[in-house]
Amino acid sequence: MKLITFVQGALLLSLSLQSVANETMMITDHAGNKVEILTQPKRIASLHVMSTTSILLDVDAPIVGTSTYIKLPENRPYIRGGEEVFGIKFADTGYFNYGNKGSDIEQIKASKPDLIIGTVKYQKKLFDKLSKIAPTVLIQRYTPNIFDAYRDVAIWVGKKDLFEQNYGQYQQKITRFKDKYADELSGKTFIYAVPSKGQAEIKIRQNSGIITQVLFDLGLTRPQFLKDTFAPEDAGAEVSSELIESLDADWFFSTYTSQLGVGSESIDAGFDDVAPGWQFALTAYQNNQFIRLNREQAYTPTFVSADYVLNALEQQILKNRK
Amino acid sequence: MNIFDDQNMIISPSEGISLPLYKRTLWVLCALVILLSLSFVYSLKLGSVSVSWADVYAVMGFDVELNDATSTIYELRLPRIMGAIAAGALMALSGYLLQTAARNALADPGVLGLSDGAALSVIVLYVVFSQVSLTASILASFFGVFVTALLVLWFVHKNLSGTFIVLVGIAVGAVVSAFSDILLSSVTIEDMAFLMAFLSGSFLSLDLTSASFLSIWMTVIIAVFLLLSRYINPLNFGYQHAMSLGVDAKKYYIFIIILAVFAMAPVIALVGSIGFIGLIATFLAKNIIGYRGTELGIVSMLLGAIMTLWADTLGRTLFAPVMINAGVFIALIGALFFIIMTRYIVKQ
Repeated sequence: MKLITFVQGALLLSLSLQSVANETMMITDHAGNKVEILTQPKRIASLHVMSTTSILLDVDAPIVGTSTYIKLPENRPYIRGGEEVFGIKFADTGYFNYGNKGSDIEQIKASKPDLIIGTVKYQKKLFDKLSKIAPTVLIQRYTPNIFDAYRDVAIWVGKKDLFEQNYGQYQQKITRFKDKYADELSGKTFIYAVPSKGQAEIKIRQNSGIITQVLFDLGLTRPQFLKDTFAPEDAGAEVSSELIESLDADWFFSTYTSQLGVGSESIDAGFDDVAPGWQFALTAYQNNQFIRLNREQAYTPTFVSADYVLNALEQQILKNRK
Repeated sequence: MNIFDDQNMIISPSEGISLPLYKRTLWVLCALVILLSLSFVYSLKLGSVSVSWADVYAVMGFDVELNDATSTIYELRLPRIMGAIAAGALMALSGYLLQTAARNALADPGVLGLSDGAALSVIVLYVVFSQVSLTASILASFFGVFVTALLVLWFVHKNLSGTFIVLVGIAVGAVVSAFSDILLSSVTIEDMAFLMAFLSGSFLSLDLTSASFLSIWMTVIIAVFLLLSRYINPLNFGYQHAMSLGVDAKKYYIFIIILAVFAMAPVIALVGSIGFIGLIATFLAKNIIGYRGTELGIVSMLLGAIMTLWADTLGRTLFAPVMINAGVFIALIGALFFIIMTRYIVKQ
């Protein structure tokens, strides 16, 4: 009798666990698609390395495959951002390789995902095709607050609690940082721009991932030139390098692409190329408030990258205070 | 009728169709059909996921319960293979027709600005309405190609052939392309990336519905081409000769330009711009069978289909999982081949 009761109990428990695992929810993705997805997906296909894979790594979501970049000069697939931020080498992961921007749909299908996460930018045209493989959701890479997109992804992969915990800690860090360095930050402006080498242009990145998110959260604002030229929600654009003097702000941020094997000196070389004499045009440079960041470490929409940006800013502030 | 009795043979499937077949052309056609068939089957086998020949035969037999391998072939490879064949054939025919109308071997949908016109229409539609359905994009593409063709014709209507039409087409294409660039710079980065991908000459997003549409469209266009063949053939001899043979040359020059537009517009809408096919396929066909009117059109279509099929197949398999668009592959390989062939012909 006891044995029968035990077996019945075990059966009931396994059925209920299975039903929890198979529970679904209806969500609306950033492209407006209404999609029914599992509340706890177990095999997630990620179709954009720096926008989606990095978030999934940050919340330790079960990834089954990812798009990849090619790391030069070794010519091997790599998780851009993931390798620099989390130290994860693609070859060690066992993930399926979906190629550049998730274009190898055969590999996506072969990986048998139960959720596909792509971006509106690159996968909108493939949405119907991908939906036949598994429930597919698309995120908007550039949202006014990048953590809104992050929160949505966390919900879709069943990691909302972890996200809220991390986000709470992030907000506390921001508050402490603002209080501690009020003299350097309060009422100050910033600009994030990179030189377009060989084109006499400077690319203004007004809303660009975690870098600008952190800086806006710290209370830094846009300089007048950006307010006059771009709407607040614009991502930015290329401007002529002749406008270098107009790009002046209290803090100037720029990034280099370590994927190409270059270092921070490439930023100065780039500005020398497009705007000779730029050092004299920028107050931020003269005041030692010109910060060079590794793009792969700074760009991912993760709390780890947010810490990297805060640390870089803090180091420069402390250096200036000495 | 014994086809080996004479060097020449005229096949008239019906009164209105002129399809003279020389022995050499017949052999070339047979060889190309066999090559296309083998390419079709082999392309089903090739991909980044390994499948067996049994799976390929199962899909071709339509007598299959779909498993992972057969569904990969049926849902992912078959649409783009069908689409590549149809698109290559249509673009090649469009090139042949435009070259007949312009009496210039450089006439091609891309060179005459027609591809740019289609692209601009689709971009305008997307900028205005944001959400674009398949039907709307095809209609927009038709509209864009028509308006561009009318614009080119308006400039050249007094001098419909020769270098002049090509030069006007290049100029119109440049202006239209500039408008596209201006519009693209006004949209968000997300929309621009979507539009660039939309117009990039890729078969990645084709599904069975759109591939079937292209295939059916190709069949219809071929039928119309054959029905017009008795009027198109004399046009190859020039305006005066065509008139002397009783063909209203001006009217039929415009007809074949319209047919060329109908051939290419759905391809641009569904796949994007695939340059060079019209030029290369017709050039190769001429060097294989000579100037043969309708036969040249048919041979060009077969060559265009084979080239596009292999461009797409190699693009998705050579560096897998890195994918290269068919349009890029054709531009790289096809253009290089074209230069080598041109130098070879000049030397001869």
